[in-house]
Amino acid sequence: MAQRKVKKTPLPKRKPSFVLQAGGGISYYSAAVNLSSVAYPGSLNKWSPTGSLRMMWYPRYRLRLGLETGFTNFYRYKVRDTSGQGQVSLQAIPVMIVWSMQVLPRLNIYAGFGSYRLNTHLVYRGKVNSYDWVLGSNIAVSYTLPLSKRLGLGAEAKWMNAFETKDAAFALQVQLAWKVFQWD
Amino acid sequence: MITLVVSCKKGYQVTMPNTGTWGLFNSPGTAALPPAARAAMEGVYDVGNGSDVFGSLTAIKWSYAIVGNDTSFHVSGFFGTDIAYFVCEGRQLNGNILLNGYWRKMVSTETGLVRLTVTDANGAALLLTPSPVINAGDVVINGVFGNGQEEPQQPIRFTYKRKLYHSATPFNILAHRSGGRNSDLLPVSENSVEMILKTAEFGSTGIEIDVRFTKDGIPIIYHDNDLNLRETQKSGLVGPIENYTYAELSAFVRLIHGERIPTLRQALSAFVDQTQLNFVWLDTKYIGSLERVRTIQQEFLQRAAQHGRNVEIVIGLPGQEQFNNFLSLTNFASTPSLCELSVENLHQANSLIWAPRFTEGTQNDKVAAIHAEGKRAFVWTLDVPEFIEQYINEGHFDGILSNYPSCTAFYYYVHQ
Repeated sequence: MAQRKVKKTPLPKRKPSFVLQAGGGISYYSAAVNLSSVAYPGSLNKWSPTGSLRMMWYPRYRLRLGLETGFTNFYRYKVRDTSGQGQVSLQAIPVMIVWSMQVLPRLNIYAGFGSYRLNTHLVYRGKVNSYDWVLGSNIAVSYTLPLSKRLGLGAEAKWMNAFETKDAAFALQVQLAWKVFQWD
Repeated sequence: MITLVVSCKKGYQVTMPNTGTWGLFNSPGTAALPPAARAAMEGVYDVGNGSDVFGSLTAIKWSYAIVGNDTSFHVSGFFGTDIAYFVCEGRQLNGNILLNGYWRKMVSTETGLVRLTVTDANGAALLLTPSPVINAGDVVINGVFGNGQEEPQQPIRFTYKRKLYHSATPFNILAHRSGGRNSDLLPVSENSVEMILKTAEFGSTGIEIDVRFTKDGIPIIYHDNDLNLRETQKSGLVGPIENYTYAELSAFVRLIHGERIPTLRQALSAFVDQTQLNFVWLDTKYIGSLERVRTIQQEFLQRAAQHGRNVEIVIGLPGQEQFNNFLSLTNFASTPSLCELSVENLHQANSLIWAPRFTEGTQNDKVAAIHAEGKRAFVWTLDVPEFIEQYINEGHFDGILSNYPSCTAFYYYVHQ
């Protein structure tokens, strides 16, 4: 059988770069939590401001690699009993290796795997700060509009999942992308 | 992909059936069983109908716990298949004995209702006499069992065969973590007061409990080093349990079935005042002075003696650090202890009990030497039914620590 000639279309040449992405927005604790036996009724708050910082390496090929951290408050609540009243909040700081890919023009998807540092901040007849490292992951999708050759502004939806402790949150963020460094 | 796989992992659970649906058992006119009937009913029974599900023999035994002003009695049947057992309450009605409860297989999530009857003609008349004497075939228990909450319809039948086995020296059926692990999906949490009150239903005669300290120096019962979902409900509290005071744990943390983390005092109080259990193994999970634990041990031994209860509370020595801390106690030699280390360490600490792990075998020669010194030997932690059977039939230990005390109870009581 004769072979057809395949017409090769060269990929547009991309210059490798490092891109810093900083975002801020709001998160909602989406995992199940039942605190009815301890929490003061109505005191459970699952909404929180959230922020993230991501440094991505954009190589010549499609798959990108980076590191991510940030901050979110999973939930907080109050207790009132005969001994007094108090409150506790559970915060999460992700430390993730992130893979990313552009799937459509300006549309990127992200998947991260690593750890969350969970911080307990408790006030009840004294203060306690305690923490633990747990395994987790995240997935995100972002849409970024270029503002200049180095700057972009975008929106990102992200799901954070500290699966070891069954904690999860959904976040919506406004994101600023800055091409920090580029080389040939 | 990892996120999806981990998020979709199946969680197993056992929903205990509601046993309050048998109208006859709850009808007016039922009355409690007399103590003599309960005692006489205990024994080894042949399983007729139902042997394909539960095996050919069952060991039936009564237990009790005191809750508030009430004493609740339960009859349990231990089987040799799939670590199965049933737990029922008992009443009499019009000369018949009714037993109503649930069954469970510990190798799976299988459970369901069980409803049993001893009719007047099948032995109830004999059992309800003031001083019943039962021989083989005198008592026949007929009934039905079902799956889950469904109305039980599958027939089951037990026929009295012989008395329960009791060795010449007392044998301890010890339950790990006060009754069993959370991973075995029991209806109450491990290391809880509620489990201590329930564990005799699973065949236990004693318990092992894990002792740690809170930030403010209160000894509590808790297994792991940190707060986690294996032992507690979500609370927002993470990290080492010793980072928190007892008041904080009590206000913010609940065990997986909603109980509070008990203090050592609460646990021993339940043991002494509310159960028929006779042995507590305090597994010291912390490194530090044993003085406070010993003070509480002595306090509750005295309290038990005042109540006429013949019980033992021993401090476990699982590692070299705890061993060294034990030797630094004044009068350590007169402090009841259990040594998991070498026989030489046992002698140094003057421990009452030597407790090697089961992987070292039955060690019959060493156990015989321990017995010759007037001491005892327990083995831990035996969970495989074949091993439990082997250690009971071929070994000479004075007790077995297991997550499945019902399995130990079966092989011990049916032993001949």
